[in-house]
Amino acid sequence: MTMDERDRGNEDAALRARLDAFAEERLRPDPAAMARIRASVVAEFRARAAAVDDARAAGRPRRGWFAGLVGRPALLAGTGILAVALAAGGVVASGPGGPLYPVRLWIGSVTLPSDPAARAEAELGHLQERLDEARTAVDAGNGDAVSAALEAYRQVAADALAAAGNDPDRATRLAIQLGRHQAVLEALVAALPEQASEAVRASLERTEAKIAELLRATGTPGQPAAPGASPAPAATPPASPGKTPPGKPTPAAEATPKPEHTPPAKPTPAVEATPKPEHTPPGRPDTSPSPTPGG
Amino acid sequence: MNGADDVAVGRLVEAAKAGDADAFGLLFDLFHEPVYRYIASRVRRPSDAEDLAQTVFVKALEALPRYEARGVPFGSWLFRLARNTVIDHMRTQREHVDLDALVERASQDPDPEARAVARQDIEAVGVALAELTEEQHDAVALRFFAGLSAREAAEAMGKREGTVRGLQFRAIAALRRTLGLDTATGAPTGDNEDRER
Repeated sequence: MTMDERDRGNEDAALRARLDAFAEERLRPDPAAMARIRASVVAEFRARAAAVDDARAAGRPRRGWFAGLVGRPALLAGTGILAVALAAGGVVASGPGGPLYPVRLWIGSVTLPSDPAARAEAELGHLQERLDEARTAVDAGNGDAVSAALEAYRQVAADALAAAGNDPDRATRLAIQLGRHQAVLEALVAALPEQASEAVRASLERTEAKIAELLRATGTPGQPAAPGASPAPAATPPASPGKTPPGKPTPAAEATPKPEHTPPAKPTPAVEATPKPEHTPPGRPDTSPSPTPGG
Repeated sequence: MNGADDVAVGRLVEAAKAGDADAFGLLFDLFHEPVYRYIASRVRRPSDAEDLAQTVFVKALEALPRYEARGVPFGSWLFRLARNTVIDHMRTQREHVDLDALVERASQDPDPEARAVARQDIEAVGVALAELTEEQHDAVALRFFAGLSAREAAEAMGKREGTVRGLQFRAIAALRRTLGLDTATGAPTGDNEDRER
């Protein structure tokens, strides 16, 4: 037992519940405000990074991220153009098939709300995002991105159904959403251009089949449960990039999940035994401090 | 957080240091909620908490080129920035948790009776927190609302881990006493000691 665990053992459940209720009521960030702040901060980051790149390209010594911009309107305009270019690059990096995509999925899973209703809502949002990504990738003819997005989709669906557990309302809502998505996937398969790769077609069809399997197993309306069936995700949880971040800096290996070559993993205790850390942000190497953050 | 999580965060930090705005955006996604929760527990208005959260991330992007992973973990480093930002804000605003502000936000519970009870409970927690010393409040906010370990909280506060555990212990005792949850008797709490520091 660690010291932290012992500390938690010393807290009584009643106090913890009161603090949690207080935090839920008073300390919950407004998603719209956070989205606005994120956009603003990332835009500032891009502008500064672009200025640094520009200064490096011009062979000037680095004088801080904003120093090169002072009194240089032309440079400022160039920075804007570069920022747009970098923005596009950033999107590619964390988009399906990009090197940061698995990390993005992981962050999405570890930052799911702990409140069951909010969590279910967020999971539905994640499913929709993955499907939108797949659709965009199909439109762009990017086979790797389609595969990566659909692999992520299958895992989110399986995780969400497993999490729904014995909550019939939550499972039903999820099943309804999956049913809608199934129709979208069917339409995507039907609309695939002739030249679409077999891998894309197979990935779409596999996802569609997986949804049907999940729906059958949960016995949702219109999809009677197979006799004796248990929820499919509990029986066959795939390895989840959403819960297991890329461990080693090997971008090539992680960057482009290819389900056609790496089918979903068999259930492992590690997947089940790694719940989302509800209150613990990351960051804990075992080294001594060196930087002194501002202030 | 386990080692794999640390590696993932480290990878994002390195990518951000190399100028990858998308990686910085992902760091924001990962940390904005605990940072906001910490700040919101220390200032009066949600709008102030939002402004300060933005300030923290802007400070982070400014200081990121100087951040070195061999030192304080990124999370602790970020919370140190957050804490300094809150302290600066309180110095200039003479800000303290305002009990009226704590009361003004209504609960969403549809049942009026349950809502009244829940609201009363939440108000009582706000009052109890406001009665803690600054350092006790910090320790509780970092541990319970931001979810840091004692070690991370200690790094964020620039104190020894044992000191932070002590602050937390006394804060819990004080909260239990104020909230009427304390059935034990007798043990000195050290509150005065914290106040004198």
